[in-house]
Amino acid sequence: MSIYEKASGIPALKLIEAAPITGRSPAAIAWSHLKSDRTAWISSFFIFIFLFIGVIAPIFPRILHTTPDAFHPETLDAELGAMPIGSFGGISTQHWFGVEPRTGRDIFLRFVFGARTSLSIALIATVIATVIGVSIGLISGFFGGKVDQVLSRLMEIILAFPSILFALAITPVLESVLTRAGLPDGNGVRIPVMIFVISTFGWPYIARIVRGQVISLREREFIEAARALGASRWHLVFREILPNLWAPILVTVALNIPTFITTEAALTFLGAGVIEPTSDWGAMLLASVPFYRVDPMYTFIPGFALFILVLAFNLLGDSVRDALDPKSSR
Amino acid sequence: MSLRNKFLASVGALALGATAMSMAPTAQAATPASWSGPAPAVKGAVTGGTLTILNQGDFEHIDPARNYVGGTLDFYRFFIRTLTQYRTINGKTELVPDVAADLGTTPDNGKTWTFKLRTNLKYEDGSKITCQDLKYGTMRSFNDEILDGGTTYAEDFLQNETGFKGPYTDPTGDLTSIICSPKGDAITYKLAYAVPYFAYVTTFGSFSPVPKAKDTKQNYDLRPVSSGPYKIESYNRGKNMTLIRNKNWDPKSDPLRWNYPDKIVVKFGYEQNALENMLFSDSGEAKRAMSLDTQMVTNLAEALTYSPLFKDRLYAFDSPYARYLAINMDTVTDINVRKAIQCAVNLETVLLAAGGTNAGMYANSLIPTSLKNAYRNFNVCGRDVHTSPTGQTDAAKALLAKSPTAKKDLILAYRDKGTEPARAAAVQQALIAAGFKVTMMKLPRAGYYTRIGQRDVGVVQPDVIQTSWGFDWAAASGIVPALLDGRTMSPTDSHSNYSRQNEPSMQSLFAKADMITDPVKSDKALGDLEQKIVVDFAGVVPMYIEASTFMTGSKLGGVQVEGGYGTLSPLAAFVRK
Amino acid sequence: MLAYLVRRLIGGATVMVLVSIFVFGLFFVLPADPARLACGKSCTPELMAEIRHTLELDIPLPAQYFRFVKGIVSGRTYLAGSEAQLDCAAPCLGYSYQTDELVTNLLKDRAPATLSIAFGASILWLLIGLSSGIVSALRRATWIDKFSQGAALAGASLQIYFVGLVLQFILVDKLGWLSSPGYVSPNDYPMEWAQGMILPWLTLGFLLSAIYARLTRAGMIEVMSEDYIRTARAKGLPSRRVNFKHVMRAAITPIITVFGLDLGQLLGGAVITEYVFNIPGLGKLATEAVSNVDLPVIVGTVLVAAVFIVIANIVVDLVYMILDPKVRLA
Repeated sequence: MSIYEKASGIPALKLIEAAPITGRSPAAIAWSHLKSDRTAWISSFFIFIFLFIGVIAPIFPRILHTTPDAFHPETLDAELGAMPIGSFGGISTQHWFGVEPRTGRDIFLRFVFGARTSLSIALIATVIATVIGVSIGLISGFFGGKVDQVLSRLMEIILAFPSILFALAITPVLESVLTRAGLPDGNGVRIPVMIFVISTFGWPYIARIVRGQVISLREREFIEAARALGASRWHLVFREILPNLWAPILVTVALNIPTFITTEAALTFLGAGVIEPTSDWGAMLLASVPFYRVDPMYTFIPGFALFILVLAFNLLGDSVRDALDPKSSR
Repeated sequence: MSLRNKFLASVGALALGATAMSMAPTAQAATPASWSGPAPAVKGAVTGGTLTILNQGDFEHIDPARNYVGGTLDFYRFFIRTLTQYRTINGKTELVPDVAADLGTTPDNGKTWTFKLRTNLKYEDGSKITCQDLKYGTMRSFNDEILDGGTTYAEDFLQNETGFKGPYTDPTGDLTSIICSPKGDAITYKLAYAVPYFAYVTTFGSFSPVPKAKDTKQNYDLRPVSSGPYKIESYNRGKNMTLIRNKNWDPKSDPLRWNYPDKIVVKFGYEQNALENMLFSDSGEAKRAMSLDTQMVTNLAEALTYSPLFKDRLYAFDSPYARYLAINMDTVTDINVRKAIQCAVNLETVLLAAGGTNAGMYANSLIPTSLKNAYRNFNVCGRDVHTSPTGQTDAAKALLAKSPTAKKDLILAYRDKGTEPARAAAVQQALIAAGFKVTMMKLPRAGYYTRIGQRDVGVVQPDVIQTSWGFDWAAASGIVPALLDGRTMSPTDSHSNYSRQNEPSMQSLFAKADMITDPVKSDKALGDLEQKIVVDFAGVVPMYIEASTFMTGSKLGGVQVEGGYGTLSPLAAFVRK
Repeated sequence: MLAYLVRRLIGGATVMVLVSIFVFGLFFVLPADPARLACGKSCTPELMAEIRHTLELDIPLPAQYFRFVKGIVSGRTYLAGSEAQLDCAAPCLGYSYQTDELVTNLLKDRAPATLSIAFGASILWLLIGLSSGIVSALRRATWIDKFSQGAALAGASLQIYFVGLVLQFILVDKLGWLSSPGYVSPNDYPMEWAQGMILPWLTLGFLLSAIYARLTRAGMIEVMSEDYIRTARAKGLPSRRVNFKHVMRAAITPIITVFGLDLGQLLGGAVITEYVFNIPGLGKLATEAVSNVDLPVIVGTVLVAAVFIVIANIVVDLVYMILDPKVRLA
């Protein structure tokens, strides 16, 4: 899914389209390439750290003796616009990243719990979009003809939607439907809606690439051979073709994850995401806007973290691609 | 003493909102000096120059029958006169006659009102303002489908047995409940029931004169005929408006208006941040400008940090807005649970989330302290919220223990605007601490009040509703009946009684209060009523009375807080050389 | 060529029809009730019926859609014959009850600001992106290459809503080098217009140029290794001529594709940029409409944005054909 105006990850994605990867590189060669790639190691390390922090988030409240949602009025200056007392947004031994203006909530805790929300939404959406994109791409490419025409047109329509705008607009609509259907209002509805919206606009990018690969594989000898042996269509698709596609799929997914992460943050930033008091990086950035001049640290922390994580994913995606496709040049 | 109070003390010209609002007695023996023009000269005022007003949005309406927005009600007095009006001088606001010559007399305790009229008032074209024009101005406001917006007070209060629907739909019809005296020097209104505060109601635009021959129906909103010190030279909707002097306005006939600048230019379409920055940095045209709709929000902390630098152009005052939680009495039926909510809410974190002590002051009541006859300083949950605003978690838990089977899962509704999400989070935290389970219901800005008022079966009903109320006039009658009177509800719509308060014992008290015509006694009765509903029935949780912070350009003088509307008023403004 | 164009236009129109049915259906069927939303606080059954009548919500949905399409093609009249008759000339995209404006007029009012952003930013990102990409490709593995590669990677991983605030904090608030971002009409105040636009242009230009730098570099390196370029060099053609005539021409094609698509997206509303810098453009209109649940405006902005994307796709394909003779035969 392309983020309006700017699509991190997409650049590399477009490069792939220009120079398609052949799915033949043996895994061993690719792995040895990756193993010797320092950038890949460093970026993997950073990604691991973020995921790890997200996973172990629940232990931090015990260490810090507070929760991400707890207010700390004593850390704020009530007479000065309720801004944090102390420099750099109230950074102290108790509050490692300072406190949120006007609430006094601990920014470090909100940051680590925000990582949990943001990353789980993005990762679940990635899985869903990949499953849908790969299946539709396989079907569309393998069966061709009418099926392909219909599915390609569907992708074209989805790609013609101004995605962020549409996602923004459809969120309240879906919410009202789900709420009327008896689901509780709040994040129980909002998180599934976000996952749905992000994956709906994300899968065609994956499907397009898979489709292209399938078309190039379809007429190859080993498929012909299997077909001559009387293999069923489903056997051909899932047993013969799919295993040969794992490389391009892997690259596509690696390059799509940062796009999904930034899309999630952008949607939340524009107000269509999770609601109070649940923490999320996009929501933190949004909440920091009114104070960026008085308390720049508050904007800087989630913004910079998002940058590092997306950068790490982009670098890793490049490395994976290079490893799988020795032809492409860095 | 808070910084803001210190600051206020250091700036003598600043007034704290409606603190000095004085009640006008129903009948006067001698005519007070404040009733006759001209308005006293503003200290240091200079005549000439151009006053610029920079706004984010265009005025919703300037047609007097359609205007219902505080800032515009204040501003359009530059060219609209009404039957009565507020006069603010040196921080003191009082109700005075405007087109009228007195504040009305009533022979029957408020059901019939007769106002003497000033003679020799003129429109911008030199023609005379007549009693018939005043009557016509009210009659046309009945044409709601063409003249939407505005107050509905005229329709609600005036007798209308023939079902008159306004002169556009009913050209031959007449509203017989408005009667002009044969000489045209007095006007009488016959009301459907007693309205003791009627002279406040007549400050609204549906009680202003409109010459029938010049009525352009919905286009009157673009070019109303002026009766005030300025007239409209040009008005491009959404872009700008220029006012120039009206030579036919006589300062001697007007006790409340000034006309220092030669010209007034209003520009629309600025964005909050950009406009705030312009005013804050006092740059370019912002030097001679102010804004009617832009408070200091993002620059507030910085402005206050360096407040001595800005003291001549920073205005902090109480707005008429009370921020409170309405507890839905339809769904939260257990009194102990409602009282527990009242105890649990931590006003300190709520006010901090709103911006700290500059954003307002703690409130125990929906009635601001400035309404001295109505305000009661009672305790909520056994504590004086002004000195101990924090949540009484233990008291709340004890109350909940008394009703072990009552529902403790609450839905908290709030609007997605400004500081409201942060405040809702503060409320949620406090409720959770007391043992409630709270689901957040974030609602879009548009349609918020419609949604929270819905009582339809099948619609998810919030249990606690974050809302606010700004009074239409400075009396308890402008607050308590609208917010707490169960008789105003319909089966599908709570109207503004978001608590759905409908206790039978209260309804008879409301009916009794309706009969009181004396404004002081009415204020007292309604103040008692509100105390009962807050303390005995726990229908609402008052949180704070909001304060406003505005900035103006350094070359402006005479800008003052208008107690009648709770706004920063340009009416007496002048431009320094 | 003409036949191809006609085919593409028909294809594009089909996509637009499907998009419009989808958007229209979704937004007018699903949410609570557009009339109730528009009705406001003091809603009475009479007022609601009147709004329903004004918005023509009291006729069956297919008929509503038909009138909507007819309005776009030949204009329509609301409340014909009554006192409050409202003519809406083609292309009529509906009437916003909440703002009491025709949607077409709202879009017209907001378009100049979006055009201004797109105009300046696209020039900037092309200039920065192409030049740094070319320099990188020609001076491979030098410090210039590494620097511009690094900058491109950073740009691809940064978010507008973070960079925009950081740049504003540094360049506007702290150093005072730029004036606050904002939009005034270039006809009235050309200087102020440019001053207010510099920051959005810089932010968007820097972030988007990353894609172009990477694309240009990769494309040129690939082309430079092709046989015909080697031949040209071997023939002794001056390297500058080879670089600019042959290499650039071949490498520019994918860039045009991406540029067309980016511009198409941007023209429909720079949602995030306008939100961050408070620029009253189409994207801001859309976000405002979403938060006000102003359905006619939401539908209008989504459709207009989709039109830009579809047109951009067609234009890109045409340019592609003209530049690359191989495609013409396909």
